[in-house]
Amino acid sequence: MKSELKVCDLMREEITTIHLDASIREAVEELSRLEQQTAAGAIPEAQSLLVVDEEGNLQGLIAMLDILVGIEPSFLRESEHLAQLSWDGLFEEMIAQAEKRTVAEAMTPVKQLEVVEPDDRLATVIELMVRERQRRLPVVDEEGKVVGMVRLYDVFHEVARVMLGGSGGGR
Amino acid sequence: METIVAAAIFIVAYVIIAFERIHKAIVAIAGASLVLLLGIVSQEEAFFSTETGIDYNVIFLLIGMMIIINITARTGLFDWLAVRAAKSALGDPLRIMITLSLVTAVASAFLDNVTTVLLIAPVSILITRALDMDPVPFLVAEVLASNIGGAATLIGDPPNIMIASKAQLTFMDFILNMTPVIVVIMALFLVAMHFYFRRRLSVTEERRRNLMQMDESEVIEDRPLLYKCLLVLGVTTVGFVIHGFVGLEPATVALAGASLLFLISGEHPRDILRDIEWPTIFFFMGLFIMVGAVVKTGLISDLSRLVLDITSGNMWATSMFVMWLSAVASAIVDNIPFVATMNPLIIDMARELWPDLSGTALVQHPGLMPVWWSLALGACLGGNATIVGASANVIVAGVSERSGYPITFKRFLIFGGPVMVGSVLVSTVYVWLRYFAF
Repeated sequence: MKSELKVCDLMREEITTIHLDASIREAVEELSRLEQQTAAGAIPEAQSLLVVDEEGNLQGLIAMLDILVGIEPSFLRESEHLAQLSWDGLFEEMIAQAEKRTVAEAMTPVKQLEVVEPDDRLATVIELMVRERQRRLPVVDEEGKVVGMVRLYDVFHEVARVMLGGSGGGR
Repeated sequence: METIVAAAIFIVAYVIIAFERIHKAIVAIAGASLVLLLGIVSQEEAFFSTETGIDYNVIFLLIGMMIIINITARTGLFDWLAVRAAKSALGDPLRIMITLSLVTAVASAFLDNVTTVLLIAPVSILITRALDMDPVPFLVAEVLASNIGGAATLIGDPPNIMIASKAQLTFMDFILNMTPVIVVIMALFLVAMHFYFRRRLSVTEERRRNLMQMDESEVIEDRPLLYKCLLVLGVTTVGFVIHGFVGLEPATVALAGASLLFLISGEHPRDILRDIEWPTIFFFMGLFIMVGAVVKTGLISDLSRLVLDITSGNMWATSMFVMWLSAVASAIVDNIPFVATMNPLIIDMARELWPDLSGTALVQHPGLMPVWWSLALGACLGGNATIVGASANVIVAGVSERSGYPITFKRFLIFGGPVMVGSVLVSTVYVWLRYFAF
């Protein structure tokens, strides 16, 4: 009997963490560094950082869209029409304001984050990604410690391999 | 025994609502369930009695207006209005503050105050951000204007809706008795703001240009919807103006307006009804049942006799007692439960004074009218004193804090306190001149 892939077969163990209290600027620096490292083409997927507290517990995740959340002035979120009203220079002001904010203010907090375990099936991963529109799922072990990450790119890669590769599916 | 239990439930609920540890809707519904479970009022009395039951005039007027407002808010009308107002003031900060306050006051006269400030506050923060100014004075001025403007009409503020229903007053009664004094108070408020802020606000030419760059026409994404909303708002307002003459209740007008807008806008009821403030509606329903229980036990009549003892039955003294008590109470606690309690109290007082009368002749006895207006003025204007005095104040403080500009209790009080005292003093003079002097 063919066995389908599980999370542990797909996940990437190399993860980068950042502290809750780090500034948005530091997160941008770190993300830019990772992007440059992988720009060679090995991983065309946008990078992300896992946000942790002093004890290393997962607190959230910060990726490019979260950086934009950190830059956007929060009052713009109070009305759906305000985005249309802006002026030259607002973007630079937003950047300047955002430098004072911390990662904690911008990240997707852990309670809004779906996580998976190493022996979860691929179907579970797909279900969670589709339902929550979440492109990355942190992988945690029984103690809740982060051991890796499954990303949309990895899942798509597997979908493509099985779909285009004929009857294959097992390993 | 029943009197003590009913009073105890009511007072405990009041205290919990004041301390806001449990949501007021839950407190009200729990209190209502309790008086029903204990049999202090029967379900019949709670649901169907006009004396001790839920006031469906208030409930359906609120729901109808919320539907109309929810659809209108989607058009971006308020963001358009605010930016238009700020640009017409040519970026002059004092004129912007005054125009925005005026827009807020007028809007609040027709919409719920909370909705108005929720619509106007974010765009005001955007405008002050463009001008690189502290938004807090602007926001506080707007919320004060909102509470003042809301007092002007029957539909402007929940206390007025409740009073109108109990005293069977029409929209035009409010226009004739409340609007004149509110116009005077608003004018004085704007003059006071002018003198206080004229040397305190300045803006650079470059920042002024930021504002003038904004293109407000961009915010209106669905023009046909906007025109339909304006049509319905217009028709509904006409309906309110004539409801007394054609013998329709205000709630009927609001529901007709809401259903008309549903029919012509094509909006899905699921989306619109989800945004109704159901917690507020359930708060009202629970509150009416709890107050009904206290009324039934006779406690309210005892209190009304006490008030008449204090004022010796003199209507000028009674009006002032009601106005200032309402103002001070509304500065500290929610004015809605307060008015819900005062309404039956005033009716009991009238029964005491004119035992032969009943119905409209009783609740609209010429001697009683200044008391109703005093209650409306005190309850609506009292909320301006503190940051917790009115729901709109709490909402603006929340928006401001989330946007990184917290408003402290003290900072609000510095503006709100004098405005509350000043406006109630003006109301005092008005009630005396209009109903007692000649």
